[in-house]
Amino acid sequence: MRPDNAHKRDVIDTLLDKSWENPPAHLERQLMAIPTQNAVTAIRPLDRITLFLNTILILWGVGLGMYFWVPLNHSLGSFAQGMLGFSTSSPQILAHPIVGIIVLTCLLFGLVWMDMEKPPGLTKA
Amino acid sequence: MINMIPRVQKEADLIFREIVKNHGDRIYNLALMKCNQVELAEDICQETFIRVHKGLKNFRDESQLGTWIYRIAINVCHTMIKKESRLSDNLIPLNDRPDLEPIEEHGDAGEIFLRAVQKDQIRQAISALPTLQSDAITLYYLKEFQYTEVADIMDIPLNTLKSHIRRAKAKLKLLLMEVYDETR
Repeated sequence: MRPDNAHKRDVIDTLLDKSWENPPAHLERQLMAIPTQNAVTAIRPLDRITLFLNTILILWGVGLGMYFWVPLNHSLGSFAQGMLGFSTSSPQILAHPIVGIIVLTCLLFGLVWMDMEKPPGLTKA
Repeated sequence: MINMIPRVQKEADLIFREIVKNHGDRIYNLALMKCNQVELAEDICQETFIRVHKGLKNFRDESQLGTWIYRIAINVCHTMIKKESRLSDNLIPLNDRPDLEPIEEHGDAGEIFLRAVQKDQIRQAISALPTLQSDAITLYYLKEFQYTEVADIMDIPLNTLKSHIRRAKAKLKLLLMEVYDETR
């Protein structure tokens, strides 16, 4: 029910009063269920299905990268050779296994982080 | 107003339910005023209370609980309305929702229809106002807060708030004079 505090009344007050809408009955039920939903989410901080799907996506991406990497590496090498007279081999660092592991780990955690519920933060308009 | 600060999750849940009972209607109406879309207003309401529930157990400043809740609501309104405005073609206007549960209204069918149209016009006029004016008038409309508290929620000086409300009312008077004449 609409609260009725004392206010100086004018035309707009009357109109605003008339526009009060009772929320649909199902909304209160949904709102009351929020603690239960949050509790369920809290015991599953990492969604295993998402993790599994993301891993497949990453493996596919790695395979695709490896497939295209050799010709790309060749063309970059010959480009550097042609321009500078020697191969800088700088792209080779990208092929180093440790760099690859770091990148994949970051990517994996990045994707997992995106799927996680963030703590509520207040942003100003 | 809730005057306890939860220490444990169970206590937080109980207080949360009390907050829903006390503020659910107002947050819903605030959202509806801001967006004039039933589905979006429900989503805003739900998102607001999800954030309130998550933040409640860490909330310490009990005197600021009310303003904190409505500040979250206003922020959620801004974010979700902006997001939805990009997909505005998919929104269903209030009057086109046949699945809405009937609200108890008195009077004949024509009167009820007229009232629904008037409510829609009022909300349209409010959502057409500049953001700060529409925030000010919707928070003022809830009759929950003093001017100082509304200014605190909106994080603006008191005089600026009063000026926004005055301008909003002046614009609404122009926009809604016809509706007002019909309601008298």
